[in-house]
Amino acid sequence: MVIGKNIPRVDAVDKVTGRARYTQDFAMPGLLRTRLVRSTVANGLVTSIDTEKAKAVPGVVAVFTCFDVPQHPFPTAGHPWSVDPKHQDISDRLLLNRRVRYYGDEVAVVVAKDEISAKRGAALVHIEYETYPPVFEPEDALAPEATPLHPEVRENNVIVKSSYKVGDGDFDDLARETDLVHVQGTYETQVVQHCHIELPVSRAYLEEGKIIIISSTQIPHIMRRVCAQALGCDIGKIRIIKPYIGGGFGNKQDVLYEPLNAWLVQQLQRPVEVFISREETFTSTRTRHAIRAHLDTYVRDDGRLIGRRYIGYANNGGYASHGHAISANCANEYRMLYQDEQMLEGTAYTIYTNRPAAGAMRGYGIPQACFIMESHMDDLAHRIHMDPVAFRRKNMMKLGYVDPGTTITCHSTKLDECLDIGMKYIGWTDKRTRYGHDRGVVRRGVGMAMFCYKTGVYPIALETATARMILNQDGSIQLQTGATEIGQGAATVFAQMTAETLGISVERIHVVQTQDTDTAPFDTGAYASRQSYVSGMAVKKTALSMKQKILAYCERLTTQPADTLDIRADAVVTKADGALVVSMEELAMNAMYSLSDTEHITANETAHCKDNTYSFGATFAEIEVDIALGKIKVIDIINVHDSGIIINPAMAAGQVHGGMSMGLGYVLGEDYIYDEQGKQLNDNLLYYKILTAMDHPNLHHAFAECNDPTAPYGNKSLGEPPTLTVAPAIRNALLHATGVAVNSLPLNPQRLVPAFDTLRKEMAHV
Amino acid sequence: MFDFHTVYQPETVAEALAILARDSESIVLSGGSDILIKNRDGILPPCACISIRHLRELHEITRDDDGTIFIGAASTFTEVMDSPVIQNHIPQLAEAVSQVGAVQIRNIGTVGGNLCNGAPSADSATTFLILGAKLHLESVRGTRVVSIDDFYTGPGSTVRARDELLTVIEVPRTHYEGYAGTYIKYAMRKAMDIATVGLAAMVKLTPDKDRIEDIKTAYASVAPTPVRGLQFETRLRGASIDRNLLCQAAEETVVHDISAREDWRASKAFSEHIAVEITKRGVAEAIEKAGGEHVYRCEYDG
Repeated sequence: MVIGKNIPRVDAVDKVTGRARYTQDFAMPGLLRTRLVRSTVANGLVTSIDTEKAKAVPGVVAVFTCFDVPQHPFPTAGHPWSVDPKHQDISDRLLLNRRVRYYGDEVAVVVAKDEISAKRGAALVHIEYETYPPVFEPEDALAPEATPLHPEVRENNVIVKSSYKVGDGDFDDLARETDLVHVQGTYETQVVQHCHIELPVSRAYLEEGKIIIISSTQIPHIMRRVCAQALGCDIGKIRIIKPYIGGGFGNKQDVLYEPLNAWLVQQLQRPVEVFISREETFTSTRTRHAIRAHLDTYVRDDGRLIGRRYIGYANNGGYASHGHAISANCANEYRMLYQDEQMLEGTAYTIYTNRPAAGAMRGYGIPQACFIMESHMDDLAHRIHMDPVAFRRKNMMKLGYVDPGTTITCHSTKLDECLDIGMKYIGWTDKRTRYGHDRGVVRRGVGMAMFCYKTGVYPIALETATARMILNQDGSIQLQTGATEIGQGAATVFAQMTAETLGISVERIHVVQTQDTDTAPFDTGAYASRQSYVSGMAVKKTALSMKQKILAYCERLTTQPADTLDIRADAVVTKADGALVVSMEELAMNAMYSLSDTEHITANETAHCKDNTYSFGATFAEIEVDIALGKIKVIDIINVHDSGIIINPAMAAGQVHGGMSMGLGYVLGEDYIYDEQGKQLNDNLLYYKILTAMDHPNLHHAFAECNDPTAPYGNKSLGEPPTLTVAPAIRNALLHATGVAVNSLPLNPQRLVPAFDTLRKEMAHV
Repeated sequence: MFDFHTVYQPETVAEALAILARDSESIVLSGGSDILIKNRDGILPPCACISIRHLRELHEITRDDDGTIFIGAASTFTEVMDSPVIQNHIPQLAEAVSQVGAVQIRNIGTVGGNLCNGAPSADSATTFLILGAKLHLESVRGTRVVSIDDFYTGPGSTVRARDELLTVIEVPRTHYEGYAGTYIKYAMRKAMDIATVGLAAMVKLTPDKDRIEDIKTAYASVAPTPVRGLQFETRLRGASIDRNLLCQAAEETVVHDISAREDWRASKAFSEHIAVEITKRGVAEAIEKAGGEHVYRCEYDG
């Protein structure tokens, strides 16, 4: 059994020794560098650009502006293309923009022999704008006098408004039921960013009549299609190569600067690099949507949810990117995790504003949903004097649930066990009574939050994956996938899956780490925590096909019937007693070099996935809060996950800890701060407060395993889930510790010190 | 890639001074953790840099027979932390610089650069201020010694002329002997951060440990320059060690000693609130280090 073992990461040695080659490690003589020139207004129109001084800078080769680029808009989202025009991603992007829609939007680009010349040139480009009043918040963008930001695709600034209803009756009629408790609240989350360690970069060049782009991306096959759309050329004329990448977390599940890079190569007929700084990454790539939701709930005092209403507004910024999908996902979570006795109404808006474009970021609307919903659940529990965990158990999704909106079914669940494990670890029952009455300047509390998360995007969008296996002469296997290793450990689990099904030892499974769209089989890429489940189905199917072909060749080679044979520990054996028939190495050498019967054994299978399943989990946290300094210290924290069978527990632990770290940053200090013009003030890692190693508590985790029947190896989503519930667990612990409900993020000192005003006044009177 | 038109690597201080005098576009590069960022951000005019970090004479930390401490201006934060002279006689300086950024920055950043950069947030500046440090500024014209009280003129600016090099930071014995001190760096993170509000405090107690014989405080990031808490000091100098006296003094004077302003990193009200609170905590800690009773503990007692 290889599944469930702590196999060392297949890419670990290359990465820690510095051998792993990333996009900028590939030598490219004559490579030109670029520097983008960006808008200094949030909402406006470029009226003129003077590039003469820039062109005169020694080392500058060319300057291109928004007036030079093709005017056919393209979409950037990392989604499989929909053949139904009604579901296609919104094409609202140009390579460079005359109409600018956020502070930092791309207007021009300087191409030069080196970075310094490019930078000097960019500083000398002079731009004149006609400006319009910016709209930064959804309510501003929805006001009647607001300028529509994309009148060619939306006549107002509503990208999409969608609604659902579960149950019958009128929500407002619940007001007449006198035995119900009515609680309303508004909860909101802030803009944050991925902070992947490798900045977005691509290098493009011409060869074989194609434009070849080496890029730090999560989605090479999708990127190829988007670049072709942007340039108006055939998809086959674009080749994308994805080498090792330094993280993405969703920012690279969008096509960022590769279309511009490709176009520059077309114009200059020379290799070009587009590499942006950390500051530009903050201001001008993608962010996590800020979502504000108004919640309205009727609950009975025995803890049963009777009826709920959700109205949520997602701030999408200046361009559509992933569009309404995140906001809809957030609204759907509200329906999925808990069910109401009578009814549920949900409405989700996604709005264009003059902020940087929001797109995919780990969790895809569910970190927001969990903060909104789980904070409200604790507020409800507080109102009816019920234990927050007991309250949740009474209303949560059960095995067999079929979601009315999506038909996604709960095929397996260990959520109850997750709650038990978390409660026991943190000492819940004892600490819920012991804490919560402190009156000093330092107070303690415990809190929790839970989630459900689907695995892949079926049925909302296409789920398909392909894998290819090739038998080498030494009996080892080459495994190619279109699925990408972006740090989550995909390459390693695919090796384990292949070894498990094929019977060849995991050390002899060579996973090709680079995805080259000319040779890698098709896969939509790394997102939605889909790859171990969907791409894993393709790996399994391919491994079974490979096994069949190997055994069929063995039958020709040895005359033993294939159906009596098996492959175990790098050899073909008799199924019944395990007796050796022929080693894989000998079989492979024969297959390759026999004078009478050669076959170059390969298998290539597509898995078209038409299923989905829920994973579950919870965060339990104990905190200490200093009322005077406004600081939260996390004393103890655990994430408990039901992600089905855990394929590689040590790697999974790393995944959980990484997600917890992002969740801690989300709740304790990450935020985007802008000035009145819309310029981001904290566009660097000093003022954007991602947590350092010193700011982390010890991170604990546990898994409650089960075998999901729909999954290739019993496994369910684990890539995004670890980051979903840290923020509300801490917020709820704060409520327990202080009695103060804070409904917006982050819970940083600047927000907490004023929130504790009343508490400090009470203390002064003691 | 950094945009300097020339990089000089002088072998002696005298050579460095000569280059500063003759190349009017030259600037001093010590550790580089401020200069290189400014260069990258394009806010320095076209210039040449004079690298001084390898000049060994600027890294010496010594104490002479009458107790005067001399700190070479290019001493890194790590060198200051590791120096037995500092640890034995002014440990509060080691404590302060141990909170700069992170290990990597402490290994290259220098106390001289920290002062000459002129930022009011500098972690070493407030301790040097309450130590009454004397700064040796050298040029081809000779050496002048300036009291740190007269060094800062505004945010990012000091009295150092462009062609002067800070070579030594001097601390006289009477400025440190008998005092205990502490530094509180209130920031948003425990590493890789700049003080939102910083407090350096030093106290000397009476022999019976019941009264404050002398007290000095200084603040980072809440004024255009590092600033002394003079009114606060006056209130507590000679006072008995008492929680209510400490709290009242902090609540009534600190806001007038500093001049916090509205800033996107922290509002005026927030900065003032924190300054008052860390004054209470920092002074109480310094008193305890000096052998007095700790009158303002803030720990969990549930």
